[in-house]
Amino acid sequence: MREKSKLAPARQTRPVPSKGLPLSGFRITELTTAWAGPMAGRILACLGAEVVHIEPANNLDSWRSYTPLLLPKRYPDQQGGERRYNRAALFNSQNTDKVSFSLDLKAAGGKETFRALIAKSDGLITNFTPGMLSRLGFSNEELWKSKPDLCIVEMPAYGNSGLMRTWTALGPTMEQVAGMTAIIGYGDGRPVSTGPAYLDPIGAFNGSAAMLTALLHRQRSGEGQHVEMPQVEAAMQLIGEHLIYAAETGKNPLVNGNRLADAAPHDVFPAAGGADEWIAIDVTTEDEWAALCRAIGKEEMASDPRFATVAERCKHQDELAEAIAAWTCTLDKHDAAQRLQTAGVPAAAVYKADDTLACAYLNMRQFSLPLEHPEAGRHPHQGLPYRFEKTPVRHRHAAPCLGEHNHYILREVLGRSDAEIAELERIGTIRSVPDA
Amino acid sequence: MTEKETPGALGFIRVLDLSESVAGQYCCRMLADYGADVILVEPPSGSAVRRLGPFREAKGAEDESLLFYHLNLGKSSVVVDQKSDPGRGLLDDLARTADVAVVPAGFDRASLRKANPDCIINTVSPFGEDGPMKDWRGTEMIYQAMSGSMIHNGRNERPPLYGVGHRASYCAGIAAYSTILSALMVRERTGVVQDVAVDIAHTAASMTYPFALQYSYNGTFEERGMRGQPLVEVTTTDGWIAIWIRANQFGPMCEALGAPELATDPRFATDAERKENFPAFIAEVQKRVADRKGGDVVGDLQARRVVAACCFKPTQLGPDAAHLKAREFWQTVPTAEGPRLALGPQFRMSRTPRRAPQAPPAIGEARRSGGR
Repeated sequence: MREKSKLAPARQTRPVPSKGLPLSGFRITELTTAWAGPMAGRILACLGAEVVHIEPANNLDSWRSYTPLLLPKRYPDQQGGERRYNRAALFNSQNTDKVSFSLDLKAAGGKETFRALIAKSDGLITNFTPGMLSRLGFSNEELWKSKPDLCIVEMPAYGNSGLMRTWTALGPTMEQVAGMTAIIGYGDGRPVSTGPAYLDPIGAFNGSAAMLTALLHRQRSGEGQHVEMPQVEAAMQLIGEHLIYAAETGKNPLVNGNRLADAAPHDVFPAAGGADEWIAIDVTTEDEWAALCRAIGKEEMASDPRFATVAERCKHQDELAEAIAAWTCTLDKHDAAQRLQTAGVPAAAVYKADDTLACAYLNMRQFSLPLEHPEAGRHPHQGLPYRFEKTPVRHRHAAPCLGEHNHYILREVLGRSDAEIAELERIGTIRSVPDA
Repeated sequence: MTEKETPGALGFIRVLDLSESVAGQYCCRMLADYGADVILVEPPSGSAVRRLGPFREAKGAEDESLLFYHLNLGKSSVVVDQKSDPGRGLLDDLARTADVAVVPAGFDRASLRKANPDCIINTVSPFGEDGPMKDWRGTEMIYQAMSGSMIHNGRNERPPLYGVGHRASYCAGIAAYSTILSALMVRERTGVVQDVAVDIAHTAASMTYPFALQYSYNGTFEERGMRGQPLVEVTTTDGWIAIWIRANQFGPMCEALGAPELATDPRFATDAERKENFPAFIAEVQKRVADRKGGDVVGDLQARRVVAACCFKPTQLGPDAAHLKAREFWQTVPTAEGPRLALGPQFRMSRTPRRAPQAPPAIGEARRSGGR
């Protein structure tokens, strides 16, 4: 049982409004948790919207990492500190540019406050299992009573209908159902996850695209609507050609590590500098094959009959790998990648976190933009790939502390008096400090 | 209201798909899905994507790309030889009617802009048109390698795995779609027309778990395979299943597995001990599900709100898959040789639903119906 915290309430600030961006002047309310939903909101915030993340203090966004077991790697200097929910790398990575409103919808006056916020919102985005809004008393029809042209985007895992609609899910289980996990592996029949919860960012790209489609239609017609974005079905598009192939032929694709049936070499090779340093090399054309042989100083390989065609190279993958590794293992991964690319061979260093921060290309795109966070310090926050010539977007401010904008929302957006705000705080509908 | 009868959210725009890439063609297919009139502009030899696998296996159709099919549903096709004067003239004529053009790096945007000052031009490319990697060659494994995701993907004692297919390119396509819609909102409100761009390598990096922020916070890295996360992967009589253990669901999970004794086993009594003895726990679960059907185990777990899923192979996700069938996810596309399969919508819009998919064009084939 948790105890009531002795910490003081959060310092209250006003968010900095965006100016001249594609979604400047739009307000999106977000009832989300973890990655996919918050990242969808982060995309809309980056495009200029004021995105209000509702996160009750007694039921925090799971990415605030407020679990009984402290995971030190998630915090600055591996220290949770007094308010570790404000210092979690996971939450702080996905909530840049947002407004935090720690409203408890289930507490007294919570629903009324939510309804008032909806009346001032252009969009609502959620990523809970279907039915959550209805159980709270907010069916679409109910929401449209407060705001007739509201755009509602729900991001359920499996959709709002069908046998699995009520099933709970996370990125690492959704990718299994989407068919991705089964077609990644080392060729031993054991599936391998597609990446660290790769379904979540896919859901975020799709969820924000769904909201933009609804907002564009609304801008032209004045009509709001409901959009259901089932994360698994939307992600299936990304391997659609394999799913159609399977449906037409009854066959699954070959699974053999990084190797392909129609290109070779297509693999990673060890680089110098450590046991887990790698370079990826992908040769598709005969020109690239000849260029690779020249670049690694083994021109004789280009005329070796074992490697003469793609089919032969695929047959002799192990000999091929040995010859290439003999060259790559003497070189720094970045150096090897640069040499190969200069020679016209697709290649890249396999990046670790520090390589991401040091990458000249990504830095030119301002991918790791330093932002000051009052409780986590100044750190480079990773960005998004949307580039506009005349309305350039980039992160404006770091993720909010819990409940940092409660007074801004209540006073300036909803017109509540100081006495009304104090009452909501007194009865616990608005709290900026979770139980200890 | 059926899909055919509604105009679609993007029914007011015409798009030229000059992209010649998976990312660009997926972007334009999404635009077509939600109502845009999309013209695929192909060189006389046909789009290069027509030559990318996987290919059909139906007799006489072995050279038909399923990737091209999937990416170009609902578009029409015009052949333009951009190297010839008449071809460039034709492109100018097309450009004059377009609201949006999606182009590769190095495309002559100035000529297009001259033909139509109101066109939103989106450059979709591997690394963009400027910077230290503008001449680098990109493929899916290259993007994944440089994203920071790949190093974490796979088993710790084995090399990193890039994944499968063209997932970074597809996501760049979705990002490009959103960039275009954002620019259209600006154009509609203010009249401002602009060039926009999305890089695939940039997109792939943005899809990575926050390892880089973690490293900046405290200098630590994560191991490949995300060992330490509470994911149980075990085999059943008909395939693999995955269970994600939330601390407050440990008891219900053990009950659902028919193994309440595990909930009181001292090896698994607390979060910390479970973490320490995780391999032993997985072995216990494996013993109990080995002779059961995956769907039954997952059903029992989900009945107690435990996060669990079957690991489906693509062949288990066809039109007969029960959940997808109930949702009428798979759709059929009329073609000269009879109906063919296509995936259902990415998202379902209550007022402006996705258009029913139409077959992708043959080279130079105008769309059979519709248009503006």
